[in-house]
Amino acid sequence: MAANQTLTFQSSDGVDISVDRDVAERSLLIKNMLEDLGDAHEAIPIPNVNEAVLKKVIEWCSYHKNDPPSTGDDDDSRRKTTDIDEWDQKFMQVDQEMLFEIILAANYLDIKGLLDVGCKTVANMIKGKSPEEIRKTFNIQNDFTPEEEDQIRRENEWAEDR
Amino acid sequence: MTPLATLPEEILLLIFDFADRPSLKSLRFTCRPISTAATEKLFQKILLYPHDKSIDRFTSIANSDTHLSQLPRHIHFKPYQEGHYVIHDLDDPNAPNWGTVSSQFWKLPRVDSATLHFPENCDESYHNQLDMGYHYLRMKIIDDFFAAVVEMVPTPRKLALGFIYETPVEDDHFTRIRRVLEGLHTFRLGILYRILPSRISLEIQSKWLRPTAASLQQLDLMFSAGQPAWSIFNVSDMHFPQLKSLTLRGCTFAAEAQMEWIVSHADTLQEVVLENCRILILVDIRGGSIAKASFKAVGMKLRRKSGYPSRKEGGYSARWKDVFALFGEQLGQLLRFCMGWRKRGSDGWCADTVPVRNVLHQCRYTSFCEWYNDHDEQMPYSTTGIGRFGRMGIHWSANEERTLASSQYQQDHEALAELLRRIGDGGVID
Repeated sequence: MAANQTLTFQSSDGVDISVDRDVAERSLLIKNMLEDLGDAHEAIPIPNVNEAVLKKVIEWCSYHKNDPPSTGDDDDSRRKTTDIDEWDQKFMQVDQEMLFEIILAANYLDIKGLLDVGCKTVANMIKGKSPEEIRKTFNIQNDFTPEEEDQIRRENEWAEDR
Repeated sequence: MTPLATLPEEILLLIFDFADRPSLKSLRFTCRPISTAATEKLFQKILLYPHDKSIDRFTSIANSDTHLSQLPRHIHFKPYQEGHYVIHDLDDPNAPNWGTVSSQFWKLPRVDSATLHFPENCDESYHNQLDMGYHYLRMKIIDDFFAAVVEMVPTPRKLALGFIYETPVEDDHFTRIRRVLEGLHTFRLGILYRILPSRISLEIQSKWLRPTAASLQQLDLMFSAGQPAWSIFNVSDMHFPQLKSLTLRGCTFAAEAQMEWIVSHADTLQEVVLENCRILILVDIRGGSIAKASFKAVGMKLRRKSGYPSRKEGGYSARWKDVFALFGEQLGQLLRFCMGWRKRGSDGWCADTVPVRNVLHQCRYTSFCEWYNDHDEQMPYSTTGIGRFGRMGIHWSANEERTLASSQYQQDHEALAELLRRIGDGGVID
């Protein structure tokens, strides 16, 4: 492989962004595509991701380009810890709209590390909150009737707390 | 706009993977789309343990008139849990009737994974007068469990069973146990040894594993954390033609045949994880040792120890670097290899949800020596790392610098790095 090739991504809003190949390959979608295509000389369209989000995603991939690849795709191994390292915590200090856009982009581009950090960030925002506090945090309208809430309360009793 | 509630369910489920259970309970109240995903996660796994509350909960879910009974994918059955009902109180009229509980498993149609989990320390009564009743109850629980699992449609393809020391008897009841085992593609078998290594321990492995051989794709063989020489694995008389993933936990390699058995699956094997495994480089036992049978069964050659007429000596000459090189050359399909150590829970169980990291622990070589301390015989080695087992002294060394040069450890490290490079695993050695 050439020392470090530069690729061009085209965001959904039509902006070209250049990115080093080793950074771009943090995305399994891109990595697999490049393996199939050989070299990409033209801009690669990223139809679902706008410029602002794509730049954030590339920033994350640049910082994490030397991370070891994730082990296996065993979805059970994702669970357990919600610890986020310091750099990632700072990186995720964005408004909710951007946070969810990053999660969706990481899912589409298949960047497991970024997807996990995004999901953990949301999980940490939920942790320890009452239903009303969660609704307030995420601006959610309650659409349950009191009868339905009773039913949920009853069913929650059937689930262990740990 | 409420972005969280508008995320696709697939994404909500990924997020809720990281939510704790109280969070999931709160999320169920927030709004419909979020509630659906949170409910799915909350009821994915059912923990069942000996307490009326647990049994009531299970029964409520199984007989729920809403969709709840459709959600569980996994049943984790712990017939013994500290602080709750003690398993050997057989005559207690308030004892939970496990037959009634497990006979409702079939009401949960999406369950594809079942665990029967005896903690490793739950047999404290093993050596006392309760032995018979206790053993009877354990057998009955195993029997009830399989009777329930065999009735489930479809039959779960994923099973975990441990820690057990029972060898199933080939009777009518074993027919249904066999039917469950024959359909498995993932099997975790946890084996408990308390007594000396003997042929019985090898028998447990083959009796439980043989029926699974034809269809099994993932095998996780786990030994309770006892003395190394207890946990010799020997399934060399079986072949698993579809085996993709092999995990060995707490296993001891005592002879070439064990490595050959792994390599014989080269056509299919994509993943090998060796967790808390070691090579038995030296065995020094009494001529009449009951441990002799298990060493011999895996093909270890024992010879008379010179200068000690009543002692036998043997060992496995391979070093880890040889093993890594062998795997690199022979396992052509291998995509992932890991050699590491994981801390066990207080019940001895090793969570399979946490990945093992590559680390070459000092304790990867071991030796086994036995003698009786009421005899004149002198312990042939220095006294570091000696354990006692009744009147018998057991020496198992964790640090083999006595026999191995320190360069050996460095060579192992290099060989592991080479193996990981070769298969393109990219794993880091801590």
